[in-house]
Amino acid sequence: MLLFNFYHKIFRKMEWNEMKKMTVAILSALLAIGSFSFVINAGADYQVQGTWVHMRGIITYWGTDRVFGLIGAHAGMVNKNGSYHEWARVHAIWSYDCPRLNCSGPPPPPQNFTFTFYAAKLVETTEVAFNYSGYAFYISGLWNVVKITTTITVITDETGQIISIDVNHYIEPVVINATGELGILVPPPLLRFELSIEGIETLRGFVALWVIKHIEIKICDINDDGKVDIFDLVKVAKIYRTVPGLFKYEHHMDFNFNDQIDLGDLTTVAANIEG
Amino acid sequence: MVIGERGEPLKKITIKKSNSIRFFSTLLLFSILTFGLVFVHPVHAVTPTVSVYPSTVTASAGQNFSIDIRIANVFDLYGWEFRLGWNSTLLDAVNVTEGTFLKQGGNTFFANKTNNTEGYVLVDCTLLGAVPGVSGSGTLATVEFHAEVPGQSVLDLYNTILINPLEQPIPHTANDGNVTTGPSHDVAVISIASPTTVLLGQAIHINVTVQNQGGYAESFNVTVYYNSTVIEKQSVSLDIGASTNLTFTWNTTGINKGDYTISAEASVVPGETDTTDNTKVADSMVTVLSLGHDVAVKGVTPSKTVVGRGYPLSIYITAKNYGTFTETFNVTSYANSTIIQTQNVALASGNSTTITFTWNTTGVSCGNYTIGANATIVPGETYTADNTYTDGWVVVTVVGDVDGSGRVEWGDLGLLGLAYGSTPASPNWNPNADFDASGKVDWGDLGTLGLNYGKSCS
Repeated sequence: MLLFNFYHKIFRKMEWNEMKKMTVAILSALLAIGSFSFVINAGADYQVQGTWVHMRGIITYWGTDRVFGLIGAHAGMVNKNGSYHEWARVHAIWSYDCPRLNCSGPPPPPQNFTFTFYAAKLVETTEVAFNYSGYAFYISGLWNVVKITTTITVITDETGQIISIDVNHYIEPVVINATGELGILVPPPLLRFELSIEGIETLRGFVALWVIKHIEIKICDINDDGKVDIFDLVKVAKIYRTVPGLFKYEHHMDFNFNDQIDLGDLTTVAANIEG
Repeated sequence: MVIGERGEPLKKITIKKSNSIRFFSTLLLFSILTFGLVFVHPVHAVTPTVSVYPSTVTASAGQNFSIDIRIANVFDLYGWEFRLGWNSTLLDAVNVTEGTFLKQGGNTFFANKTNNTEGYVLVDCTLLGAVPGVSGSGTLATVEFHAEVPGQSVLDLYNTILINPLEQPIPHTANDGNVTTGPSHDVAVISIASPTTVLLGQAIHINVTVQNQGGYAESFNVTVYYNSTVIEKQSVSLDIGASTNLTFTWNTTGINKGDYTISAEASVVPGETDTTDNTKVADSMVTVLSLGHDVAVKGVTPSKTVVGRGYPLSIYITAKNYGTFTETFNVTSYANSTIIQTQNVALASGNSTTITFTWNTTGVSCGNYTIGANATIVPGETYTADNTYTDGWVVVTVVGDVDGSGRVEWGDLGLLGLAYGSTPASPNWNPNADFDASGKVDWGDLGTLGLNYGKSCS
């Protein structure tokens, strides 16, 4: 997670050309760790009961177009009392407006803006597997892809003091219940992914975080300390009501995949705090 | 320091090697401590505490009580979490609410999970957005419990976490509480019995049985009423589980003849929560009779308020003998001043009866009729004002006219629809829609309405 944040911040400050160089340099080093981790685990039998996967990546291409985006995936293959169950949660957002989606650093001055991005969500899982269909890891299912136009309106009083910030999401479906697959490729030294959804161009990018465990990876364990507690809840609370394009929005804390940090995300974390 | 105070040149001081080590060690330690005191903990002079308040609670079994989780001397609190455990056989948590402390900093998110099987609550709360934390002291949350049985339990405050806006934990101490649940306080009126008749001016005895159903000896008052007027109040003291019979005397001198409701009330003792059985009403009313001959009509109730012309209407008339002799007399029912029917009644002293009269409305003009009844004056009767009783209007109209408007129209169909399928026991029962008095609003009534749709009395 720390590595991801580090990469994320560096990446955001770069101009596009610089990004290319930095991406290759940093990801080569950074993702070698992930690859190494994967290689170690690759020797294991992945049909073993109880395998959990957590992946986070950065989208760099949509077809042949350069874009910036974020993708997160959680998956599990669990044999519970003799009953095998596999599941996956995948959510991705991306935009041509790279600087806006990739906001980081000090908060920009409050201003009105309109920002368009795309979001893809796995709505039904059909397959979760290692070493499948030419991929090191593979998730397939039905996907919804939407185009979201966000209008931010900053409302101030006569003195310029901000009274409120209105966020308006205009959502247009692009494809609904389309078949698609997310695959992780492992050509050394970089770990890459492809997200192919019928009806749209393929999304490609780099894996920034790649974790495989044989103990449960808790979805709401944001600080990765093995438990969900008030520390995780506070992390979400601090970015409450942020949306993509707005300072501090964190894609990996949008647990209900509705492209904003809201009460649903807080409730999800609270519900996962163990008694 | 000592050296300086003496004013001796340092170079003249001879310090042995061991003393030198001791000196510099002391100096170093002093410096570290001073630095630490000045720069490391400038604010947290007092360790914050999270405590159960009040720390000791006493409650009766069956009673609800609340405790607060309070925080003191905290600096820059952004979020908190705690678990509170208890003996689950003793208590049930019934409600957990957020306190006011963190709300001082802005909007908050508050969540809790209650497990009454294992006996704990998990409570989380955090501020929302990029806001500073809250400092000071106050209430984080309030937990309401229901005491199930007598006993003792620790209110174990554990796994408490306080967080500042930098997501750092705030060191603190947590203080548990204790609850002692004692037996309940509960007194009750078990029974009340009285004669059903009394001659005006005479006294009757009303027997009341009260019981102490709680776990403490109790002293309380028992009051007996006729209607809402006090007859008598008595004080009683009862040991745990004990009951006693009390006799109250009601002297009816100065009250009017009539029927009276008798009830007994045990005063609520301190700490009592089950007060539903503190009051009991006697099964039968007491009739106060007048000396001599006295009959009366007590009530006139038509079976419906709108009747189709040509259809029968039942009228229920209650007659009573308030005198001291058995009487035989006639009861006559009226529609306005027209006699509907006369029936002969024989009643013993203090008895009453309800007679059913049937008004055949064939040939009766449409319109409103006042329904009444009259009991003939019996020989020797002096008080005759209550021999006549008048009820409200009954509308005679064209059959199918549910609302009595004089015409069968869509509104009547709607009313019948609302009552369709109903019987007198149904909440949507409408006797005016039961044209044929079959006891059910059914297809027959619907057909009758349909046949007469659009018709009017004229």
